[in-house]
Amino acid sequence: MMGMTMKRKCLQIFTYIIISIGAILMLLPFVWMISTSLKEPLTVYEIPIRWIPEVFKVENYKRLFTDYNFGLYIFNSIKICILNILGNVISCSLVAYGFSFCKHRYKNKIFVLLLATMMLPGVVTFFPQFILFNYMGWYGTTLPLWVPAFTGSAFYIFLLRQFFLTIPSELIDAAKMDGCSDIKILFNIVLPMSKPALMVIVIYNFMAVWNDFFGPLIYIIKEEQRTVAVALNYLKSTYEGTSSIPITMAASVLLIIPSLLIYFFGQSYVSRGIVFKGVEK
Amino acid sequence: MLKIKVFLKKNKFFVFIAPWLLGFLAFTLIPMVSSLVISFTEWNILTPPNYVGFANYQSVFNDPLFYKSLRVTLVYTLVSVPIHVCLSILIALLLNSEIKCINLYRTIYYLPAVVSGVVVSLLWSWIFNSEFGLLNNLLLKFGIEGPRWLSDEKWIMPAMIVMSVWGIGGSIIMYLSGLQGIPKYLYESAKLDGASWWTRLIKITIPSMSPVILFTTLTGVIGGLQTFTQAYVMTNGGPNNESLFYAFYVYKHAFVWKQMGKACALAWVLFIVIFILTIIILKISKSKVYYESREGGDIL
Repeated sequence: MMGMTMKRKCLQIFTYIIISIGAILMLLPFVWMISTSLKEPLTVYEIPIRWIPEVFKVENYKRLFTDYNFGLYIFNSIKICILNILGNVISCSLVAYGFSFCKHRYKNKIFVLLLATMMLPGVVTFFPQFILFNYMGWYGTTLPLWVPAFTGSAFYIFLLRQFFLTIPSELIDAAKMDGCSDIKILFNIVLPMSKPALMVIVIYNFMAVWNDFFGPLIYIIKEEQRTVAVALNYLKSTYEGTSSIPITMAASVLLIIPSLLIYFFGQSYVSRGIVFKGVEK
Repeated sequence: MLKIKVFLKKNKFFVFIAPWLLGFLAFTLIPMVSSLVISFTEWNILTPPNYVGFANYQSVFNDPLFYKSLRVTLVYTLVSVPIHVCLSILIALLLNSEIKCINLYRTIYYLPAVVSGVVVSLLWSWIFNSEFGLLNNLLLKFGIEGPRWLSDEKWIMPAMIVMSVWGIGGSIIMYLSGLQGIPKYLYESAKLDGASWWTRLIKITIPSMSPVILFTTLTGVIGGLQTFTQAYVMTNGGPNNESLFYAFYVYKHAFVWKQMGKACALAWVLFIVIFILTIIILKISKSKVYYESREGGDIL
């Protein structure tokens, strides 16, 4: 019996060592990014690596706002995020309600179609979408970046529907008996019960839109409409090579802070496994 | 007025799904059909398109860079996805043990997954810097002289794969929740029967997680074949086109060289490649994926 606990202990220590090494490897790039972002341009070329800069050059961050207009870019990104989240929450709720509580002959067939679009690679639809938006005169505006959200997104609809189906149908039937309209049922009964699923959508959508690079890269031409992700890339290319490293790293840190905050704030929702109950199937 | 009300009530289902239906038509179906049409034309967006028959497809299949970009993209996907799956399962198994601070560890492993692709690309091009970068300086500590990761055509693909491993947190979390869904009694009875750790892994853990494995493999392959940001931000397709990812090559045709027709043809070829790979994966998995029957768990 003694050997058993010893073996257990050893195994535990071994596990600790392995996951600690892994964790350090995962964290090092972050530390390196933050450390570089606080350095003088020339001190990044010091060997051996100096992890803690001699002088903390917080000015790199200040310059993003004073010299490079990042305040505006952050505002642009947030605006597009909010419009996307709003659009997706409203339309996905409606559509998921239709798929969960309305009856129709072709409901299942149409739902399979919806699932199939989830597997559709973006590459195929992206270029013709661009042509469509260009034709509509939306090229060079931010409209292509948020209007589609108001038609919902297959993945979020799927998640919400899986969640809606866990709501007892007796509840819905009782409300119908009392003469509640469908819209009332959706807003007064179904949605309040689905807060965790809605939170997951808000978090996922925020991260997807905030981090999106390809969309803004293609559609935005005016400097004053840029989002943070695109602005970061321009910042790098405005002065390729030389002294740009600390300031691009500072902008990188700035870009990931909101995602991290949202993640910490919403962690409990995401890790509760709501997503995977549905996805597994 | 009343008529409209009756109509709406009768077709309630369609009223509710109208937003998605509209989006499906406007942003998926019509663009797909039109891209198929455009792929048979020569078009620079500014002047009206000319019908050219199969010329674009001919030009695609006669283009050595097409084969190169397809090879680069396939190698990247088919090497990185299995690595991601194996590593994620391994780490998820370790993170599933009952030890102190486990939540902190889980968070740390997940963190890189929330970082934007642009930041990942910029950060790693600095990490990969052959003289002043983090990686080669660390390797030097172990007496290894690191290669010129981003400018050596032999090392660019390993560099891309190493970089992609940093972001596996998302699938680790999926495997973790998969692991937590496995009933404990299965392990207990297996232990009573004297099954070793390895047997339990192969006979219980892996089969129970097969739906998650299928899901992460599929999304990994579909995502990997559409890799774009790394090529755009880090390498511009180089050196010697060894990181000419397919999506980047399509992008260049569409937006740099203004050849919409060929871009659409290229996109359709990729679509067919993705489709075939998806079918293969689903075929292989059909006999191997184990679905636990649970209440209301079916899609339909």
